[in-house]
Amino acid sequence: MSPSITSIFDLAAAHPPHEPAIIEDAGTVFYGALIALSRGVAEALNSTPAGATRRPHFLFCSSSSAAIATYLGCLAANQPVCLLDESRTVQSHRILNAFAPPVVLLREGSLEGYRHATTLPTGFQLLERIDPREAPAPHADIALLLTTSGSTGDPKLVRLTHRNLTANAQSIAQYLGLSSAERSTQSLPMYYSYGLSLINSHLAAGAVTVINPHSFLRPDFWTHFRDHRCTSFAGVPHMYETLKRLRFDPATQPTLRTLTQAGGKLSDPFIQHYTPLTRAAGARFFVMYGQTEATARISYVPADQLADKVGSIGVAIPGGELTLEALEGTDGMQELIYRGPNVMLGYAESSASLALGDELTGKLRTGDLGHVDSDGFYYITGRLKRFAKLFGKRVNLVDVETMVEANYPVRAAALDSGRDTLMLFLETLAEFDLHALTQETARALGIPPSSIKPHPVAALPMTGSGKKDYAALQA
Amino acid sequence: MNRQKLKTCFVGALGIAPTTDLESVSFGTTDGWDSVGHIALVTELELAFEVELSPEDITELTSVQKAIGILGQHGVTFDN
Repeated sequence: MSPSITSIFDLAAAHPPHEPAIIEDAGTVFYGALIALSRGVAEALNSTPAGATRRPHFLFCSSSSAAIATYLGCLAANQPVCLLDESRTVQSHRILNAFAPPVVLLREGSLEGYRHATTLPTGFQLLERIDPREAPAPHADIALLLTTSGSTGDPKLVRLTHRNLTANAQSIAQYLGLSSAERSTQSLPMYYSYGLSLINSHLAAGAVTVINPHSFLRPDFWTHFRDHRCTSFAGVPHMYETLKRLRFDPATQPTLRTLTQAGGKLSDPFIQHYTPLTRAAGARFFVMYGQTEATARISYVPADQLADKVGSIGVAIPGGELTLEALEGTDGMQELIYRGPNVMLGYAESSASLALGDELTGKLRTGDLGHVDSDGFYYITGRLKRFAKLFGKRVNLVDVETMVEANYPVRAAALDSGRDTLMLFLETLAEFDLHALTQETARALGIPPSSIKPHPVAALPMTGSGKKDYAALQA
Repeated sequence: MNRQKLKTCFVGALGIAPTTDLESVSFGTTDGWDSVGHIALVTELELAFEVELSPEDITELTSVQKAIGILGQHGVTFDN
């Protein structure tokens, strides 16, 4: 890394060493200790025989100080790091098969085709591929690789730079007004762009990340939250929907100051439910919008304007810009375009494409259709491509259809029917097990089988041009 | 009858194999029984048994035995 480029590691290293950085049940890790541990990881990475060369490191993680220090160590060593779910085997295996990474970092255990090379100071095992595949060196600007949460279709990673990460973290810290007094409960996984943005923005602000070992729907979670005097909670739509069912009231948490929501659209009635509740509790509620392709965050609704802007994705984050571009051949449809220092270099679908440089030059076509009101607040009205957002995960509906049709004698049409439900219209070509189809599809997508509603039909309706007629199915 | 219904709910919500021993299934340890699976399970149980679970019911629902107890309080009986 050239000395002029700042990383998240550098931002974290600038804070007073005696201030707490991460609190977990095993104890508190202060900034000084976190930085020392991360430096130790960086040294260990670069002192392996092959360590002098840049090569992608695939890190299987769940939120912990050890995983965060390992991630920071990769950033400090300027070794590209890809964050993967420690437990999601379906997607992880697809990624491993597609990229055949030369290095894998695991908390424990072994991996077929890999041998143990060294143990990092965080306790993570560095495994090297026994039979490394020929691949060009990753592009010099790549710092981080994230999955796009699509688990169907071709495994795809988003290529992000140090500048992407620091710009987005600082922008988030700015509009949320984060100071070193903030304590964020880590309610989302760190391999997920929203979850990682919590960690990065709090490291940038010199604030505290609290590792909560409980699920947010357990009373233990909120006891932990209170005991550690946490100030903010982050959730995707289904979490806020669930918390409403549990009659969660922000006023019962005396230290809670900020609620943030992203990862898909929270429907208006829920926003209207939480707006007065958070205000009464003396807290702020931020409805936000983003994509992994923009590191995490693109826009937010200022908390004091939320009541007037229900349903809006708000305004661009500091340093970014939203515009609309008319789509040719449509009746006035406009695509939401984002420009900013947090826009990815591009995708990677194989180890060869990790060598690619900046393909987007700061301009991201979001694929969302939208409009803007007279106050400059943006609204999303639909998707250009056929995607569903299920439990915070983006699911490409075309990929779902392709997968189902490859495994079963059916023609399939997948539709997002809202509220985390996927409608699957199936035209049967030969006898098959509908139950198995539902279960297998759900497993591949990582969603509950009951959130898939299969509808066998005699024949899928087709348009005049011979395409599946989704409008007719939706009606 | 109700036991079978219960099993269908768990299989449908959590994505576990129909052959799974339900007694071994628990919140936070069984693959699929995370917060997403949990709410799917609540929805399935409410639809199948025509009950409305309270916030307390929802947080206490952490195993099949607990489910039987909670549903019992709503007048659903399970005879072996």
